[in-house]
Amino acid sequence: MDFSNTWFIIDRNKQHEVISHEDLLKLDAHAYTLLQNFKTHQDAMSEMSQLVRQNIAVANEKIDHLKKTH
Amino acid sequence: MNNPLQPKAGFKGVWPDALTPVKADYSLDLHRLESHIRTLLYKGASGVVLFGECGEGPSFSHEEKTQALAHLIKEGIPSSAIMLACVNSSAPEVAKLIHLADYLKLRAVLISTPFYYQDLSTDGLVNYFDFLFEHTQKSPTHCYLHLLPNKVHHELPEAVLNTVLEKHHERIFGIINQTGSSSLNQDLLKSFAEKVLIYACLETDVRALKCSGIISAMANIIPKVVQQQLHGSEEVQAIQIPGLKVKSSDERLVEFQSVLAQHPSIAAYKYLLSQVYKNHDWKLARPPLSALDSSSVTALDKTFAAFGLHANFE
Repeated sequence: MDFSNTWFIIDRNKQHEVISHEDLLKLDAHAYTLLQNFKTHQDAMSEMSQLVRQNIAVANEKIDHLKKTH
Repeated sequence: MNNPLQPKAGFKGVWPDALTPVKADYSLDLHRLESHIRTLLYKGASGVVLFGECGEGPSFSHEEKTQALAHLIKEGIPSSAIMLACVNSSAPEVAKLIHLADYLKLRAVLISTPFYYQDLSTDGLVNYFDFLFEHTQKSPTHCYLHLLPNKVHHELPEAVLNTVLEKHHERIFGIINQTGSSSLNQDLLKSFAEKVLIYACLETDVRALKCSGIISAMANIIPKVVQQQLHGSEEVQAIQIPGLKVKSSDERLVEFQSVLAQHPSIAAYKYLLSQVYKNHDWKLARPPLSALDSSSVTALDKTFAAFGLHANFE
């Protein structure tokens, strides 16, 4: 299967990033963690927004928990 | 003249028994399924098995399976990289799935033994497969007999396997042992290796059995380790994880088995995949299955952290 025009979500420096296959190949394999592959940039961005929303929800839960315990 | 009972060329490489993602309303999540398969293929899987044991096959309707396959192929997943598991006790329903596989030119279908019924006779089981193969006579799709755990699925006695292989040898490309029994691998090899290919699904067995391919649940999470195990090469990890103790794929697989021990397997795999993809939606399973409870999550988190997954290399 040809992945040359596909897109990836990676974790780098504790942040999610959307990156093209071409750019992914230029990275040192130890410098990032590959999460998932997507056919289009739009698909990858859509997943990325969902990941960000989930992270915000988790952070809000932690804040609420802290508020209740202090 | 060729011996008609010689083994045919079967599938090769690692074929993850793909997990099936669902949305919050438990409907099939087609986009997430597509992305999971793309990611597995990128990581070196030869293809995937859909709606099998890990893919919650019996929980999804024929229409949902049709919709999923059509979506995947439309979005560029090669049909030759898909095998469809037919986990059903209704021969006409299985025949419909085989016709679907023909139409979509899938790599193969996996035909499981019937479930629900107890004490099936030899005649009943042979008639079941006769019905199935007679109603799909013109099908060019490769068929594999798929043995699943005996606590759920009816065991296929040797006499039944012998008769079915004799009668339908042109259609059957192999026997896939996903019962979890290592000793059954030995029995199958002893009795049928000259007639048909035998595939083991226990990752720790494939090297000893010299299998050319494997259907693997663990490959959803650690596809590269399963590939190393299948191909007998350890160089990848030795080169790419400097500074860490190099462990053999055997050791990693045993470690991974201990991570999963004591948890319901599909829920545990889905939880781990949610950690790998950093997306909580992967935790969901379609009822009657459910996501892991909080005490299992705590225990699994602890053992998975100690496992130390290197997602790019494993």
